Amino acid sequence: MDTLSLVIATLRDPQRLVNDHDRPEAVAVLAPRLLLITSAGAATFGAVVGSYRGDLQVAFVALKMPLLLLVPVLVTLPAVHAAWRAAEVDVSWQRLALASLVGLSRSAVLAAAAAPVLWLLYSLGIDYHFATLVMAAALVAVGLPGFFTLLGAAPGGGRLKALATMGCLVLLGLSTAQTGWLLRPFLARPTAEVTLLRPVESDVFSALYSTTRSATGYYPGWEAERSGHLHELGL
Amino acid sequence: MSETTLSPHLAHILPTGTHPRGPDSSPAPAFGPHTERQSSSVAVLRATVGFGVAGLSASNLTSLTTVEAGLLAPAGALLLTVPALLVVHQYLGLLAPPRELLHVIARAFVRSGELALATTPILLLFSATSAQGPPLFFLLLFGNGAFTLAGAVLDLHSAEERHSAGLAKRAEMFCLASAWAGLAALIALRISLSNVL
Repeated sequence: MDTLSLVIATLRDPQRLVNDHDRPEAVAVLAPRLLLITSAGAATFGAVVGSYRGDLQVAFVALKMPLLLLVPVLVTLPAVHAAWRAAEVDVSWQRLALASLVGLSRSAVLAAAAAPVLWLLYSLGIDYHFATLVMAAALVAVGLPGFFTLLGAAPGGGRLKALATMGCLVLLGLSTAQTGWLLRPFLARPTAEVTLLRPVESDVFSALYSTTRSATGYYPGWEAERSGHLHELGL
Repeated sequence: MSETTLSPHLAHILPTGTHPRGPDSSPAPAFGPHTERQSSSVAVLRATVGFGVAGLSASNLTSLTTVEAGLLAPAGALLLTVPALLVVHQYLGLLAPPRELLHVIARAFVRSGELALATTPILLLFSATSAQGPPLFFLLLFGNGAFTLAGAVLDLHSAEERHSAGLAKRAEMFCLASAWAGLAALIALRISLSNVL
């Protein structure tokens, strides 16, 4: 199967792709190519997001966007496996990894397809906050088909499977939010310095809390404090 | 849990004699009772370690509150509530053998520990980069407990179903299991809070 056929298969019938290649040797062959497709699709989407600010930000976000897709899945996958096992749904690690990669590449290709729409909006000079919301909405819209691909890897039956799946979705959302926070800036405010990464400080929840208060008309100011093991270790 | 859906990775926790098997299931594995007891002990030990590791990954470098809570809350809640469950079960004249109930609860503990261990990467991500490790740990511990207790209630009900024909007995078991799960959750919460405050 060439790469183009693989892209088509991830879009048209991802479940069949997972079912047909659920063997160690097939996974070994497909995994690097699926990673490449994910990286290319996410980098395209990232480049367009970076174009809101322009200059080096285009390259920076193109580099970071694949990580935004890959890191949360990598971190959450053991919990997905354990939650399904607890719900008495047995899925092998190999099948789970393949379904994740297929789901990720599906999301990344869809993200690349959504990139022109995003570019059109950004080229109209829309407000920074609106641009952020549009990017987040696009990521959610392309992320869900990937998540459903992962869900399809699990066989039917089991007990409390829906509850386990909801829990997995929450964990994936939390991990994605924190990873996105660590990898910021993506859009970069017009007045902000263009940089690959900001220092590790505060967390996504305190930022959301502050934004919510600002949205209700209360502007107490927000001081991002450094915390966590990396800070304690002086990194 | 229906008789035929018991997954192989959990099967070793149930002894051969009480293992609920469907009519078309394969024969019991040819392990002696000693080997089964050993593998069950290993599974329980692994689950305990899972709680400890999850707590450790969420802790900050100066306090081990989460490790204590991770180890004490589930173990303490079970130690304090399981005898009560068995006593009331017998008092009500329900028919499932107490040994089978113990196996259901042991399985729930093992599942819960495995789940806790599996959340370690997420906890590490948060504790390494923010101050949200401990709060997230308690949130996950709560979710994990709620999920496994709900599963245990269903399993306890199924265990009674295999031995009781009457609807009233099964309804009694469901109420008893739900009350037990509620009590275990409250005690686990109390133990966790005493570690936090």
